[in-house]
Amino acid sequence: MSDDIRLLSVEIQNYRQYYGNHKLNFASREEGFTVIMGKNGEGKSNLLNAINWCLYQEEPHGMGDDDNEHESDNKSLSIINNRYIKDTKPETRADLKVDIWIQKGDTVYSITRTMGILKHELEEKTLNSGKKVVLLKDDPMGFRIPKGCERLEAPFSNFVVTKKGPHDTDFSDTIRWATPENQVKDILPQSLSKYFLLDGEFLEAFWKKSKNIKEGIEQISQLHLITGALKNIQTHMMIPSKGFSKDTDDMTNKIREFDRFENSRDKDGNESWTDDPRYKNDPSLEETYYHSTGQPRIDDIDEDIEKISDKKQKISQEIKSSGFGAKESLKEQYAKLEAELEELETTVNSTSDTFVYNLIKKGPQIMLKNAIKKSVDVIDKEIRGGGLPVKYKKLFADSLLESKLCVCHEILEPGHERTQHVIDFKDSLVGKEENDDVALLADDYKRFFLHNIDEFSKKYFIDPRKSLADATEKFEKLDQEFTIVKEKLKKSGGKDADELINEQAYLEELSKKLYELKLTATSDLKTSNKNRGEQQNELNKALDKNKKAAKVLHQLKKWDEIANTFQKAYDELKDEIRQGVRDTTWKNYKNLLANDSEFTSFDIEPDYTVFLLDKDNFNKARNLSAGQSLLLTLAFVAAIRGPTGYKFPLIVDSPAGKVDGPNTHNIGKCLPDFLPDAQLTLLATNKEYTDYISPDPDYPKMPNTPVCKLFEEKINVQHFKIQKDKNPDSENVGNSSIMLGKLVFQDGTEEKRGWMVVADE
Amino acid sequence: MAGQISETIKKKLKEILNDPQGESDEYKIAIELLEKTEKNDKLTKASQVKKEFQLLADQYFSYKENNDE
Repeated sequence: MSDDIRLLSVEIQNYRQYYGNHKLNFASREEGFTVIMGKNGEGKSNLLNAINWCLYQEEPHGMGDDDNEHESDNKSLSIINNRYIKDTKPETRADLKVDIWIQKGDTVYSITRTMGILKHELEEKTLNSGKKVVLLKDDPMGFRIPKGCERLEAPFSNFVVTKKGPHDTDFSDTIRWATPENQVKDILPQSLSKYFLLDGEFLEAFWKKSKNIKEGIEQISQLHLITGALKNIQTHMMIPSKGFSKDTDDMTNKIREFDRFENSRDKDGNESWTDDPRYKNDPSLEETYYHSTGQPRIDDIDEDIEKISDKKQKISQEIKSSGFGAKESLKEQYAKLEAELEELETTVNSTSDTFVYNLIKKGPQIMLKNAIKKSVDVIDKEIRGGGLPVKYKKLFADSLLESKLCVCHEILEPGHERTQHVIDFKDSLVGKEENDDVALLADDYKRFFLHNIDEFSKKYFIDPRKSLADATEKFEKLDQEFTIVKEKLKKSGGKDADELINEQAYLEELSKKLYELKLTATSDLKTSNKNRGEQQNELNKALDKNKKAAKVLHQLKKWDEIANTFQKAYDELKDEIRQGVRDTTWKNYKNLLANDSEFTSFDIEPDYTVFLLDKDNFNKARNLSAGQSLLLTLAFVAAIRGPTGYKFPLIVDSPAGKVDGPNTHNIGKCLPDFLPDAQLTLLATNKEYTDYISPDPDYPKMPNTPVCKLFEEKINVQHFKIQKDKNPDSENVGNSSIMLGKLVFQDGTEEKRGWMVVADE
Repeated sequence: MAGQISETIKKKLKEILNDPQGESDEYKIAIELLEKTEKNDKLTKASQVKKEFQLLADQYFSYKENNDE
């Protein structure tokens, strides 16, 4: 992924609103930003969908709620343009097609997806209004097509990637090297699409999933390749083939057993499951079960904890916005306390973990204080009696030989017996450097423990215990308050409130149970890995003694060296990148937020848990408003580009759809600075881009300059305008065209006066 | 697939292996292992991964009878 990736163009043919052929050439980064203006329903989000559909055969945007089908949702509309399919003669073929040109390094790729449809007789129904609508059905891939049509298989429906290198005269098919899917995976992998194809309307949930942060950092920076290669080495290459001796065979078997435990596999290599059913937030879903052991089990539990947390938040929102007869303030209080309690519970759990960890790791040191002191005294005595650390003894011998003067002030002549004594003394030190470690250890114990017992106790026991006690006290107090609010709400809200509150309580219990299961699974995995490591050492020692195994041992040692290199690279890069992303995200976010004192700190922990603390030290990362979440996501996406080194193009739909005036102003002001080397395309409405920013009483000094003019101060913008067909018979959202646009000032009546993007005809 | 690994990772490996030019066998095999891992996916059979890695091992650190190491 080292080459910069640039979107050159997208060509859409008969896809959803787009009747006929429409082509859009994206501006390069050197040329500035690309802004595509359109009103709601005219096809902005479907332009993003067209790109997604072409690359990944998915349409993630504007699919509406699963339970409610709205007329404006894509699932109530055909993927093939209505006007086009109506124009097509029965028993003939109709094609919809999207073609994307992408440049990676010096090579240009053309990625084309075509869906061929055979039209028979369309089935229609007449609405009460007398209007006729075409009925729809799902095609085998789950896309909606008109009833009375059938989707054709290859070659009429196909996916083709061709490429043209710097020395090629024409495009050539790439199927010889890889499948089209794998070619796309190399250029813009789908797993990363959520970081470069952003829909501002749906970023509310981004920060609720720590997986988004982990994947954003690890996959974009390719750290997952290091861990993947490392795992392959450990699993496949560091276990020797059997047949050297019975002992080594037994050890190999045991190591394989540990690996099966880690990967939740049975003896035949099949996935291993428990009978314990997993949590499902939708009763109609099929029953699934937890993995038996290892990392897959931990991943299952983590996933369910997140699902439960999301569900709890949904219920809180439901209570807040429900119609049942409780006071609005009570409902709001319930939702607020519920969210705060959840965050506080995380704090209690983490402080408790720290305290217990310190007790286990550092507690024995306190108990063995006298023994440690005695040992340190012995080492000290040795040093005082001339037993200097080996490296100093060597330096001492070197300095004598260099000055040619002995400690007894006699000359050290070459070949003299006295000189030979000094040389022998120096040679006798070779291989004894490890004795220095004992001296260093003693020194550490003295400085950080024996001479600073109070500080040691404060750091590892007193402070963590106080943090735990404070968090627990705060939690209990808040919990009491919550119980009172809960009871009040139950009384005034009737049966509906009762049911929702009971479901919350059930989920709370389930969540606690899962945390316990996770703790056990994590601890079991750590023990297993530790035992595996010991077994591997034993095996290596045993092989060392076996002459037949010399070649195997040679390669095992090499693999061990590579594994260590990968581990070191991963540890160092992960820390550097995580800290870099954290610092830049926080800096960006503070610039984007109109009220930059709303939050006091931002952190991404080594396990990718995110902390965004408010003034009361509550972590709000999982309880952000839609606008706050969108801004933080923009800040994060801009931040991951630098430290990860992955220069991908960025398309953002509705960049300010969920934010208020002052924050919209900040988006306009900051985006050109945040993304100095990014190819950025925005899909925006006039409210987000050309309208004067609405005044806000909290920010009276905030200028009302529209985003388009704020951009203009810093960067060139290439405009496009999505224009809807004026034909009144057009189906629902109409037939739209993408036209090259220009920014103009319209000096009309007060209402119509202002900036707008018009077609540049 | 050559050239797919990020510059950030390449730089870090060179630094750890003390090989600023990236000419050592250790560096070359590390990059090839990462490239193989990128090309493979979850569905790639373990036997194939093992075979590919073993070929690299034979290429970069083949064993000689009087190997000093």
